[in-house]
Amino acid sequence: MKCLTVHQIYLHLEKELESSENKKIERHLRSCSKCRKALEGRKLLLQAVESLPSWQVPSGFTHQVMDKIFPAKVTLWNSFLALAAGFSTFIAAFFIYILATGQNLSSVFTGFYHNVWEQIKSNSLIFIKFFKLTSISLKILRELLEHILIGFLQATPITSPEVQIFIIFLLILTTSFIFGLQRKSLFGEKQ
Amino acid sequence: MHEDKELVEKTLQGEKEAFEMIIRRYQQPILNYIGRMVREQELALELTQEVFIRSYSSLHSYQPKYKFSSWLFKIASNLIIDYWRKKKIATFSLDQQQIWENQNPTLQVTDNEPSIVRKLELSELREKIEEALEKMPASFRELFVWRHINELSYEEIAEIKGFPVGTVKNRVFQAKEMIRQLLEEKS
Repeated sequence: MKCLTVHQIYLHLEKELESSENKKIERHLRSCSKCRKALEGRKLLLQAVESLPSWQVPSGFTHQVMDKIFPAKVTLWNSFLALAAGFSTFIAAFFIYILATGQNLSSVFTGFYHNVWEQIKSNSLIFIKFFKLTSISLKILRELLEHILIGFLQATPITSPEVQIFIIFLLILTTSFIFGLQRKSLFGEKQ
Repeated sequence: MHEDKELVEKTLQGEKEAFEMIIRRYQQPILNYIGRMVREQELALELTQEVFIRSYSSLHSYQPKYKFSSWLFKIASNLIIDYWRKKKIATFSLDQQQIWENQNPTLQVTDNEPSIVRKLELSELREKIEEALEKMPASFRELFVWRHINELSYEEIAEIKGFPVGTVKNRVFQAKEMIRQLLEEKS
């Protein structure tokens, strides 16, 4: 048998040849060091390829894909259940408090109303200022948001996502600063 | 262990858990394939996720006479091509492809054939193989990864690409020689 072709070597290594053909090749390999060397080199290469490390699948990847395929649906019934659960937890906590402190239920209610009324009376001026300030802030905020939205609609196609995030961050910072100043000056003015 | 076809049937009947099992079974091989094609972890994960989303939405069109894994790899392959087209990324130069295609499969082993493979440590060799894979034309790399990393049979690869088995064998052989030559060139 004449020397092997590269193709024959690979087929032999992958056991893709008929057994009679394989036997012929093995016989030739016993007597030909050149082909033996060529086969050894390729065998090592394939072994190294087959032991290449896998790409890392992050934990939680399966759930992430499942959530994309089957997104959780928020139904009216689910929302009602969540609200009911929250309310019943509050009621249960309240009764546990009553039982643990040994207080009279009616005195707790009377005390609560009395406290709330006292608070309202003593802080009425602050409450009025607070509501006034909130209504002004909401007005300004609405206009500001409108302008931001218009600005973004124009800027989106020409800026990168990183720049957009930075702009949003700057806007939030500036807005909080303006509101902080305004609130401080309003209170100061009346005092 | 459930058969793929059984899991597909259960998914079509509305059992979400069956599709979850499919994802768990194939996420690693699909990521290994896509990762070596696009060479970027985040992008590879994104595309792997997309493979499962696409396969779920077209599951009704899957024909059980084909192997499910082949069908999944075909979706992955098409997705990569779509991505490259969208990004206008040239997958390989035609000249380069032609040079390799003209390589003679009946090439005889030469005297004093150099063999860098024997001189390198395994970890170093793996690193150099990954680098060589990166340089290989995508059409060859794809077949090589399927055969030697995903361990698909030549028949499966032929089914995915719609090529005759002989053509697949030839191209995988060329890919292997390409890696060997790239390793020798580097040394």
